[in-house]
Amino acid sequence: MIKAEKLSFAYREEDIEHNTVKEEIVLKELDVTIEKGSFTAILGHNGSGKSTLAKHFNVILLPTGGRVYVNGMDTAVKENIFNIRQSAGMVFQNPDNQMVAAVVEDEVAFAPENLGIESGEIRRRVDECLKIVNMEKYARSAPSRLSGGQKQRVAIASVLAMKPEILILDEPTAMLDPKGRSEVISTIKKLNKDNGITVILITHYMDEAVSADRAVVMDDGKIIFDGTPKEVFQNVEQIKSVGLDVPQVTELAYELKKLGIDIGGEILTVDECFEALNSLLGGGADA
Amino acid sequence: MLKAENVNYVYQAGSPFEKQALSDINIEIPNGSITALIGHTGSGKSTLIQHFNALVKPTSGKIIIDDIDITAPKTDLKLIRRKVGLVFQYPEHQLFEETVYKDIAFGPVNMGLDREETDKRVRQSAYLVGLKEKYLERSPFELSGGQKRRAAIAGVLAMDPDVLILDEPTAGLDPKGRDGILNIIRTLHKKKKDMIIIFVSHSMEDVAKTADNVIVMNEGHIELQGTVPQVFAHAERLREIGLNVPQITLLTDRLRKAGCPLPEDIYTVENAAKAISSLIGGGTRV
Amino acid sequence: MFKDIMLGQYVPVKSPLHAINPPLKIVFTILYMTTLFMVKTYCAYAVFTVYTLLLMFISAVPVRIILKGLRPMLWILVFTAVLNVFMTPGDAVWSMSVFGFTLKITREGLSAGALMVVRLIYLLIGTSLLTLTTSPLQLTDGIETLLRPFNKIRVPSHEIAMMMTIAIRFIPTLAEETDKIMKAQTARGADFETGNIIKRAKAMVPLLVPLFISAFRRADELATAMEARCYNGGKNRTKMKESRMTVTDLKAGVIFAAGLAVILLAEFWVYF
Repeated sequence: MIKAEKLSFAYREEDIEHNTVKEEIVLKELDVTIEKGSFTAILGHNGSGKSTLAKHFNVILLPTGGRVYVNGMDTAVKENIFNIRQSAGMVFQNPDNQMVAAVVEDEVAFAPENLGIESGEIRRRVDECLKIVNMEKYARSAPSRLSGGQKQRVAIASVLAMKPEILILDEPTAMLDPKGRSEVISTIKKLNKDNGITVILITHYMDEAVSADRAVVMDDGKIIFDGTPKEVFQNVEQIKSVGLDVPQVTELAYELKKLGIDIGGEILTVDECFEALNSLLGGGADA
Repeated sequence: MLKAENVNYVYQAGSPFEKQALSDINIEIPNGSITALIGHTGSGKSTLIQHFNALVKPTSGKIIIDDIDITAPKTDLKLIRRKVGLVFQYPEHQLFEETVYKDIAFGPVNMGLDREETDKRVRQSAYLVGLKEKYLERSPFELSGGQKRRAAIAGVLAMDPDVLILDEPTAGLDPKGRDGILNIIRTLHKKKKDMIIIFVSHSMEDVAKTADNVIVMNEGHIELQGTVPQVFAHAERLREIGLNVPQITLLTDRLRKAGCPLPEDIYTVENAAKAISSLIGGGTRV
Repeated sequence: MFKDIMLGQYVPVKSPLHAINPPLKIVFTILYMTTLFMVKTYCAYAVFTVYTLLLMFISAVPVRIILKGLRPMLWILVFTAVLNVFMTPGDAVWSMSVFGFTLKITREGLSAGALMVVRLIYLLIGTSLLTLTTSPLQLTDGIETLLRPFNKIRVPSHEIAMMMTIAIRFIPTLAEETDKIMKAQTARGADFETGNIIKRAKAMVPLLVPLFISAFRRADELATAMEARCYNGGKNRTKMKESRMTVTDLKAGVIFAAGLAVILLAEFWVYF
């Protein structure tokens, strides 16, 4: 479980020449709780503060105001750093820039090696984690030979090898093609459903947020919507106004409503939209 | 007019990595059009666009731009690079000058243009990409991600190319940044009437919103080409080769199959809303 | 295309030489080279040749690939040979006078030249056999293991090995990036190929600036990603692949040492 209480964060830049301090506020007294076992998507445009928030969960950044607790551990307490990082693992955006080793299995072994785990146990974890992300065939490949989606799956495995309870992914699909994106998203879903891992997915793709249990929308360092994807995406105008998309069918339902045709709210998928329209159009036939 | 005639390209011929990267590519792109090039990673898109400004030479076949065979042995490469501007993926990673102004001027200066003409072009292209004058004197590294990309695109526009090619211009951007870049493409299309614009994309939504014509590549050959409605009519096939078909296309496809008399050329939310409301309105079912 | 550059020259086949514990192999290679420089008699050279040929055979690396490694050194070999052949004083077998200089080939010169060239060739084969049968990563690990005893005198063996690993990991990435930036600047009319040295050096700026910026950005992100996975230097760190000496390694060591002993015996038998 992660809890942020009145979390504020600002970048400070001291200008010695003019003797002034420039302060850029990124997070503004933000309160949020992430439940154990949940799948939360945090949405927002670039600069909304979503990545900054995620970096607090992994002690890459420390709050300038308020507190963050990961499994009850205060991130501001120095002694907690390694325990927090072990229990809340983090995957980053650029697949090339988070790999240390020149061989996939060594990459996955990196974190448990840092934790001082005994070599036989590391071997077991590496094999297990590569299997979970479906990359066991590539154990001995060089990362530079893999596709973007494969690299990100290896990055996920290399975090899983610490046996974390929570997996935080900071825009893991932003640099991938559609195939890579769906590989990564289905891996994440599986980890949440089958392995009970708490997932926090930072993204600006609404279609990825649709798979989550909960969607949190951020703008200007604050949370502006928080609820199930169905609830959140009903706010078509507001979501578009903060520079995000809603699913096309959700937008269609919204546009139709404006034209005086109500096909019912809470439409996120093609299936739902088809059902609603088909009964309305009285087609009766099913495809 | 940009033409590719029977273009083949074999990658690293004779080595253990030999691979037929392009096979039998035949394309005709008319002036003043926007063409989207789609296909999954490794389908040959990037290789193909690098042929268009002679960064890569075909193993066989010809590329002809305005009656000039750019694949002929003695073509003037500088002339081709002036005619065909290529914006690479993540172009902001190539910025290097002290100021945005100097970076945009890099191309014109290489072309040997005088100061006055260079200045005119820098300001014009900055304007075309929506980059405010005040940014020109700043370091490119102080700009935001979206602005950096605009500056990089301006750097290519400043060479005043007849053909502008953009390799995944929206990669890594958030929806707002993406819409900004697509807007630039549409603006350019309006202002430079004769310009051929080609952009590579993974997003069929972006293609539907922006392009006139579509070329779909798969494993080094052309799978489909035609106007947006023509290509989007093959939703099934597009899905098979790993492309993401927009929800609207999937929906209207299913509705039609269920017997709804929807027109064929719906591929944006606005069109779909209008078509459906007119159907329902006509059926007095409001 | 840079993706396909082979790193080092490692040939991934199975052979007894590949299987030997890397630190041990590095020590062997050093001993091999030391022995090579002690050898001076024809007899010992003959034994050394047999020994080297045996090693080549055991390595299972195609001879063609081993010889390919010699090619870049060809000029040095020729130069060494010429220098020795003409510069060694002794019995002239051929001489000629050019512009008042006397060019002389001596019997001693021929012999010294031949031995020197053979020595250099063996030196190259010896080191290639190490790099051909040991992956860069194993080499890095081996060096770390060998340096570990020097930790006491503050040699940062873990950090050196980590730097080498990261370098190996990022060479293909940065090579690809170089290729991309070069193409992008070429598309903007940059010219990397013509002009005098100063012009060419200046032409490198549009390539080098973005490349360094990217390298710094990558380094920064990599450091964050490493810390996020609890990296804390070499402190209390374990290894998945611990290089342990096995019985096979010991046997190999004994056989290898015996081989070197035979060579030295051939060299020094006159004294016994």
